[in-house]
Amino acid sequence: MKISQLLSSSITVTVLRFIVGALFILASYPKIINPVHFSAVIAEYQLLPESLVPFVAIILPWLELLCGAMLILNVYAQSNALILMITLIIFTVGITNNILRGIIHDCGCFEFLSGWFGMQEEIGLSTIVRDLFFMVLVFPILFYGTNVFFRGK
Amino acid sequence: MKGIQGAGRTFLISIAITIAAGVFGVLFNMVNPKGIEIVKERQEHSAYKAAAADGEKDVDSSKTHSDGAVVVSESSVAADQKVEVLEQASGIDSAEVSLTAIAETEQYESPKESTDEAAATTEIELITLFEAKEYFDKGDGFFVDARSEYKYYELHIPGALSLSASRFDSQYEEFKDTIAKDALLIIYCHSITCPYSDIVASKLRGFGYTNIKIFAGGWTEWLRARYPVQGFKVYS
Repeated sequence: MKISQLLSSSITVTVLRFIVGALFILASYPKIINPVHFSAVIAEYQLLPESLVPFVAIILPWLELLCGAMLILNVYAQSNALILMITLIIFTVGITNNILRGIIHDCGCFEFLSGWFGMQEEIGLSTIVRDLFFMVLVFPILFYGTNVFFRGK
Repeated sequence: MKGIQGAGRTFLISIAITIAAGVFGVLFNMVNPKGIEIVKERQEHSAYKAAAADGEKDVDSSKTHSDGAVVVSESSVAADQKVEVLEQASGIDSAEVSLTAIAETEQYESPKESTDEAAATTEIELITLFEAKEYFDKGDGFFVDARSEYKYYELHIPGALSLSASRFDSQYEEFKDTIAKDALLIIYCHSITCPYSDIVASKLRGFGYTNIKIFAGGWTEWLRARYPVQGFKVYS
């Protein structure tokens, strides 16, 4: 079986929807509940003017939650995949930029790891590789997923 | 053609989802007890409302130091240039001078206490530039820099410890081993609009530190008063 056939198969897309959806729902939860720390992390990325940081800190987690839930429900999967792909690209660029400048700070990616397991997650090569891996996971959904409200029978 | 239409539709739906997320986020933030202040000015007032109790004293003392700094600068053009370089290095805009902000603060109403952290900080004493300098001169307490480590290493108040809001958990491991729970901690961040002093102060209090003060004017006031600084961007 060719790789393109594997990626475009409905089973692959469905499995990836559930994996990516669950990951982003998990990622969003701590940020939604307590956006104070997340706003400090966003400010550290130094990609936004200070006045926009609070807006992004309260909107981005909800975007992750909505996209994650809608991916699992297969509602506008392609649009949600597009949003997540853009978000991942922006974060990857921000992380790479800060690492190159020697600025190390919390990733702000999966804060539940810190809250539940005490694992502190800082930006580094591993976070870049992980984001790139997530992009690979999102890619088949973006290109081979459906983009309807609910799939008709 | 159909592909382009499909891509356009996907893009438009993405925008709609983003807007929906924005609406949900803002609404939830309004009811979330740990929500954050969206409008920046409110943080500024929050930091200075308590300090307004000292009102005129703050302004007078700050002016005294500013005047003092002018005298110094008149004696040395090089010193002036150095301060300008330091200000540029720290990305400080002259408009951020907090002397006028103190007066402006009194025109606003009390800020909404929207977070646990903010509520906690109402019990943490805010101090002025003058008081911070007194503590510095006497060598009382520890200055704690709540800005990012990157900014800290560039320039900071001499002897200050780095405990950034975004890497608090990592840095606290070392911090707790060296600083006693009853030690005087003077926390500062970039300026009066910066919320990170509040975040760090609240976390430290949660860990049992009892003697915490926030130098609300922070790094901007300190630098503009031309007080001593330390870091790899200090030019001789």
